[in-house]
Amino acid sequence: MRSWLYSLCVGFTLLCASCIDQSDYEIDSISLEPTYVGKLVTGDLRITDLLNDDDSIHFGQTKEGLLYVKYEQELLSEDIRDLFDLPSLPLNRSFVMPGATIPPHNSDFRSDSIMSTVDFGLSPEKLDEIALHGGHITFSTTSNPPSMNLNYEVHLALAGFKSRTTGKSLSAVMKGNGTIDLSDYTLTLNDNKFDLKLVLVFKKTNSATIIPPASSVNVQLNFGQFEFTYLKGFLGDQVTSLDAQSLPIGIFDDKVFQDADISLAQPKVSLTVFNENGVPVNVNFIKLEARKEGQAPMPIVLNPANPVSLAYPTVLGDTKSTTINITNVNDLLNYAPSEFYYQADARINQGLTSGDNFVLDTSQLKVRMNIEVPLWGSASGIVLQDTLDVDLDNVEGSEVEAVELKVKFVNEFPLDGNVQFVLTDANFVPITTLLTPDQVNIIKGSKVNSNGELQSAGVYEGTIKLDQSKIDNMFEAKHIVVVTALQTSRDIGGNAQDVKFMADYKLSIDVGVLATLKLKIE
Amino acid sequence: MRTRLILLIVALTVGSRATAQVAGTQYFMNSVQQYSTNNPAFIPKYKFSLGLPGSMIDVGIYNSGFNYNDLTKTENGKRVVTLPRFVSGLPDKSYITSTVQLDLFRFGLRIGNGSYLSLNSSVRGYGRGMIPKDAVSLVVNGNASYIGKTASISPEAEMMLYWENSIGLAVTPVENLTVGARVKMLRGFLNANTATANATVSVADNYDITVAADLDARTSGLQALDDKLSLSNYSNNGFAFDLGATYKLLDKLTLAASLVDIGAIKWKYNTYQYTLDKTKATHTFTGFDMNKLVNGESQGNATMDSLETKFKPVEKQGSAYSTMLPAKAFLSANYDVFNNFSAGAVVYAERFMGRTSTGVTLGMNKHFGKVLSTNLSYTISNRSFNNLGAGLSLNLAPIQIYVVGDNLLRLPVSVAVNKNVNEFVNSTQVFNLRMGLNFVWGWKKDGKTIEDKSYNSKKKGVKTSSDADKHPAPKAVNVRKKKR
Repeated sequence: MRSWLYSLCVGFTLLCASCIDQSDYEIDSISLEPTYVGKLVTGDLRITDLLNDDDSIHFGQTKEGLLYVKYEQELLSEDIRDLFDLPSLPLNRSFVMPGATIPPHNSDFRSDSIMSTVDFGLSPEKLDEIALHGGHITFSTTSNPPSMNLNYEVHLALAGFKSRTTGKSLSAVMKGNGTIDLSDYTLTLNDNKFDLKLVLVFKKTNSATIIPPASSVNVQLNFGQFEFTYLKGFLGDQVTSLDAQSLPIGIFDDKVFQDADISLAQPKVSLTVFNENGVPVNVNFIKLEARKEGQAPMPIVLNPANPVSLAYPTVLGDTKSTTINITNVNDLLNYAPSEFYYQADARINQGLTSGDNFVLDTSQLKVRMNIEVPLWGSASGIVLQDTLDVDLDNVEGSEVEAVELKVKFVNEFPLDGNVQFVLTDANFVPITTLLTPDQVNIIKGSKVNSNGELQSAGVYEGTIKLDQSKIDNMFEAKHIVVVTALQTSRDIGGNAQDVKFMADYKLSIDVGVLATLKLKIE
Repeated sequence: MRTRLILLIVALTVGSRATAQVAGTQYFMNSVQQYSTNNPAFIPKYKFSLGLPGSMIDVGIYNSGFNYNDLTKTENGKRVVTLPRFVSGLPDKSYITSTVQLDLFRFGLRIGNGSYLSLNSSVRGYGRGMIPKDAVSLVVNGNASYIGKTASISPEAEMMLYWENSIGLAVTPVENLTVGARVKMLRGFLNANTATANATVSVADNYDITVAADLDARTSGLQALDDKLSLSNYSNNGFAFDLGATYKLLDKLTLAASLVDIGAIKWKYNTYQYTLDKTKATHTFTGFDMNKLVNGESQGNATMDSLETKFKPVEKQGSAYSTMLPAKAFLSANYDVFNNFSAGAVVYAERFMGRTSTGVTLGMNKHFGKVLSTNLSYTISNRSFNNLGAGLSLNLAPIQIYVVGDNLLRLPVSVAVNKNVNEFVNSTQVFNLRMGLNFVWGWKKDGKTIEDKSYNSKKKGVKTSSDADKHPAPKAVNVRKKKR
């Protein structure tokens, strides 16, 4: 019975199926025209959010929250220390002996001694003290004639060389060849000179020693390979050229500020020179200027005036600093430099003939440039430009019927701005602009009070409709150049006013999109 | 005029919510034993009926939302899908329901003059899916029309497959009144149940889009489909009952009312629960974060990960739970126009998972002798007004073959007119078909035998209706004509 029923069912189904005109179910096309909305972008942007790690270290804020740009860079110079180089001192001394026969003797005895003063021969330096951490004395003693059967040794005594470890003066016994290490010694000099004493000692012997006439014992000494820890004394009136240096200033990127007119309220730019050389130094800036590509350099005017006399330490290891203010800061920063450049000479002991100076082998002249620019002032003509690649090859442009951007900017920054999107082809040849002239002013600057601080945020809220031709152009474009022209908020009369950029100011962005598609699937 | 106006109001009122999944035509088909399905007080024509395993198949498909013609149209000889038009015609919720029943055993026996005993064993299935209009509209029309509004996009799905064993009895305690009851013992096989399913998309004025969801769905037996079938595993027992009554109000007018499938199944076997925490399953798309965009940080993956975390349902083995059967209520009136011909109307409602759906069927029943019984009907159901039904039983006792459906009549009409069934298929939202074979004995001829006498006559000597179930035999029988 079941089979009967099933047969009936199957038969009924087949009967119905055989009566179906399949063409009714072959769909030729599906059409729809949906309109979708969605949020594209939202969020708050503060200035610090826009900075990359490299740039962010150049921003700070005062306790009131005012943002400032700070650039600080130390340029090092060891040129003064490099003025000094201790020369090698080769010495030859001889003990001349008349002919004689020396009977056997059972103890050593001094035969002769030589006292001499050794001069480093430095000029104009007059050194009093040298601490060494490198250097040695190589020696060689010989007897003449060589066949002379003389048992001897030479005692070297350098009273001015004192060991920093033992506190004792240098004394050494020399015979034949050898080396004496000086790295632990500090030399006491008198106008670059020190005393040397050599003593010839005959060693005990059981037999008589015959010394022919005109015999001698010769001593060769060579002081060399000095490496000093410090030099003390009068270092002389000398001049050295400091290496030319430049300090790049990233914030005034030339593209952004190329045509900018900037007036800053309280910028500060100074040079601080840290002197570790214990000697009066006058720095003469041969060139000190702000530079910017395509424009003539702008000289930097100093206070105190060039040349500048630097403070110097009087205690070994100390550092003294000298602050040099730049008096034409406003002009400089309005110039929006891309770098500061200087070239200078350093003259020590200018016009002096004596003095207690010192220099360490590590002594440096550090020139620190401090640029502190509070974001307080007025500006116009700031142009931000960025290029985005576009690749809509995989999107069927004709499917997009209309696009409407719903934009809301709440701007606490005192910056007005026009934004334009330029569509270009692959060769950056403009195709069209995306926004009409009445659509570009979408960044409304905040209003500020007389102190330049936020009074009320600027609000732009509206829709930006893109017509069909613009949409079509978007699908042809390969690049979009985003150009933003900014200026600080104007006062009621439309005049520039000083405005402040505080750290907590933000631009709240809320952009949604409404897109109508026209889809036809065939 | 007033009558027509009332009818129109009734049709529109009922029709707008007429979405019940009930075979209305069969309601009037008293020649078959299955006639009593919708009212246990109904007594079929045959004194004895027997159905063997597989002897009856009942399938039904109901779409309360749309038909193929709503989706497509022909333009310049081409078949095109016009989705905006399709969406505009959708109700807020489109329910697509399927029902299936396979009889394993059926037995019916008239006892005495006014009682009827029925036994039945069937496997029954019920599945329902709901497609919210908003979900379709969001895709087809976009979300712009929901600015400042919230779209409800959560589909729902329920299904159950169970074994029903019942015993029913109809009695006539007083003249003109027959009452009946049926007790059903149930054993559930499969169930999927969406206790809670909310998913919304809200579009704010500033185009922020918030998606939120809440889900509590349970299943029983679905995870064990691959396991070896063992009936003893299915410990999902349930109980249900049907209640019904008929009352002969006038000589030719009989009223009937019934409640069917009032009961529940407790699902214990292989239960799983799928939940979403509504406090967590929410996400607002506020666009790309400007800060991250400026810093070149990727945001897409993080968003996708976040969505997956928030909206991935938590699956766990669940505890026992109960689901109600799709309960139905019928209210009907039947009028004996003349001998072996009656006309009637039935209004019905179905209540399932919080949704009440209704329908109405107008039907005619005509017996051509005892060999052929026919039914014609018109049904408003599932927002569908084009349902011309038909029923036919070939009573070749002891074999009875029958077929009945609410939308059958348009099928041959479509073939006759268009040479194909396309017009029928394309415009159909309601289709049910019940067909089978019974073994039957003892056709009750109106007023012919003691057994067949018109025991429901209100007045002595008045000719009875051919509809025996609405005229259960009273104790005092009036015989208009005796056959000897």
